[in-house]
Amino acid sequence: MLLWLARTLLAVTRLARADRALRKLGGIIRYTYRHGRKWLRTRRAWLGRWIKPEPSQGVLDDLTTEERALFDRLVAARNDYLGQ
Amino acid sequence: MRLVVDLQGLQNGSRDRGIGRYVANIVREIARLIPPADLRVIVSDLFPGTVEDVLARCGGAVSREQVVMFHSVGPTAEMEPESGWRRYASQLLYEDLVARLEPDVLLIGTLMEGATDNSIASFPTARSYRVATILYDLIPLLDPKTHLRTPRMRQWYEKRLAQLLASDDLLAISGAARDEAVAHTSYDCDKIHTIHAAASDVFERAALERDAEETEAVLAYFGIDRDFIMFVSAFDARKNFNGLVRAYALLSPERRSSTQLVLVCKLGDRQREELGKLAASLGLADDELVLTGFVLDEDLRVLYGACSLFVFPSFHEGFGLPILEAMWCGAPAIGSCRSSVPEVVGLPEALFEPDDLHGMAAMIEQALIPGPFRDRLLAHAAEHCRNFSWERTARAAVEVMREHDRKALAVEVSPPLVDDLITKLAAWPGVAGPSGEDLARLARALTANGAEAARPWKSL
Repeated sequence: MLLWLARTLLAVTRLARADRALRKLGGIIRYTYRHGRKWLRTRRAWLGRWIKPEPSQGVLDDLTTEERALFDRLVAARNDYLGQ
Repeated sequence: MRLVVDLQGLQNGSRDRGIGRYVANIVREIARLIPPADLRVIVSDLFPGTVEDVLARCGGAVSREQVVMFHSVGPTAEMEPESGWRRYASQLLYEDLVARLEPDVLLIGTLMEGATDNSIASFPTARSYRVATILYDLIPLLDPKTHLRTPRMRQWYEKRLAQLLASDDLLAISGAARDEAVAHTSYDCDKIHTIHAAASDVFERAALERDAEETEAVLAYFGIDRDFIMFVSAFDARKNFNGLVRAYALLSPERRSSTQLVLVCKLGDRQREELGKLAASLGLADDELVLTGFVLDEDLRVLYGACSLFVFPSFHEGFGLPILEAMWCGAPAIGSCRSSVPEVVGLPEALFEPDDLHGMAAMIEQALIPGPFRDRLLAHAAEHCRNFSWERTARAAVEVMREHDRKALAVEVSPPLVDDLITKLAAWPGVAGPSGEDLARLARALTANGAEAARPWKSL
């Protein structure tokens, strides 16, 4: 009887501990989802920061000669700044 | 004096508010004082389809040839984290365009914009021209809890304020606005000039053109069927709507049944419901409080002309233009004793403490009864409003700017070079750098701005 009581108590304690752990994990997931999404949205450019700016050909075709020359200078200057 | 005026205040959300009215009126009068060849106005291409409206608001005083279109890369709203690079680039483009126009003075109609819209107005520390900015008020600085609720908003305001205080001169719209800047900033008080404001032509003409039939139709449209007390404002806690409704509720039931309270204000459903609930809780009858919603100037002048009393119970104002408009239309006016309201009301005995509801109610009652006080208010309204005119305001502004013209510049600045600009544009240190498409749009904007700036001033 005593053994059964001890086992039940142990099981309940484990369950409670597991429940707390799961809740905590859920909280972390929720927090990460809410704040991480915003964080990623504002910081995602860190990933693309060093990517060479290259527009699609259609955009370039729309530029006049003067605009295209300026664009090339802007791209070169940006790449210089990024160290590429 | 070559003058460039920034008119984005007539394109963004401020265009239908007091700021928009102010910018339109002052530019219209300045355009009459300055030779057309010496005046250019800047409008932004980020507010498409607004140029005709801007010219119409200036009453034909500014011609199409005087318009310089500022091309930039939008959207640029400060509250959008992704707009960082575009705002940075647009500010540099703006500074470059103004420098290329080679003005003597840049007049900025409104600088505290761009939080949620695409307004861009910027000037560098070292420049070959002088900058005058119109100072409306410093309300967010004095009440940040209400007006600057988020850290991002506070950051935006601090940046804009720093830019405002970097102007060579501030043109304050009231003595109270000037006093606020003197008291709460480190700006040199000798460089803050009070130029005041005035009612627009629509209201000036109203006194002469009142038409009984039109009045009847307008009053019927808004559900006004007897004498009425009137207040005109945007919906804001500092305007003290609640105080006025409470003070009105303190009037005798006989007075209320013979005199309605008309609040002229653009209202959302929630605000309308809020005021309705307040009126019900104070025991006001349904027809005692009239909420008109947004009213066109043509109808507004009729309401001003027909009201028995104009009350302005605001806690804080930059100027308080509706008081002057009401006076121009012949309405007796009383107002609060705070900020700029006393100088616009111009009569010490017509002022009340906006917190003191019983005092406000007593003055309303006194002003409605035919007698010496009411006669004094009527006579004062007719006389006092003549102290303000847009011509006078524009002359004061031009005088300050001409003084600019005579002053030698402290810094010698070399003319803007495309290479320098390109280096600066590429050196964006923050996150969300430009994509290839962004740079293509930038190249297009840069070319278009070059063409705008290349038009010689003498050709106008």
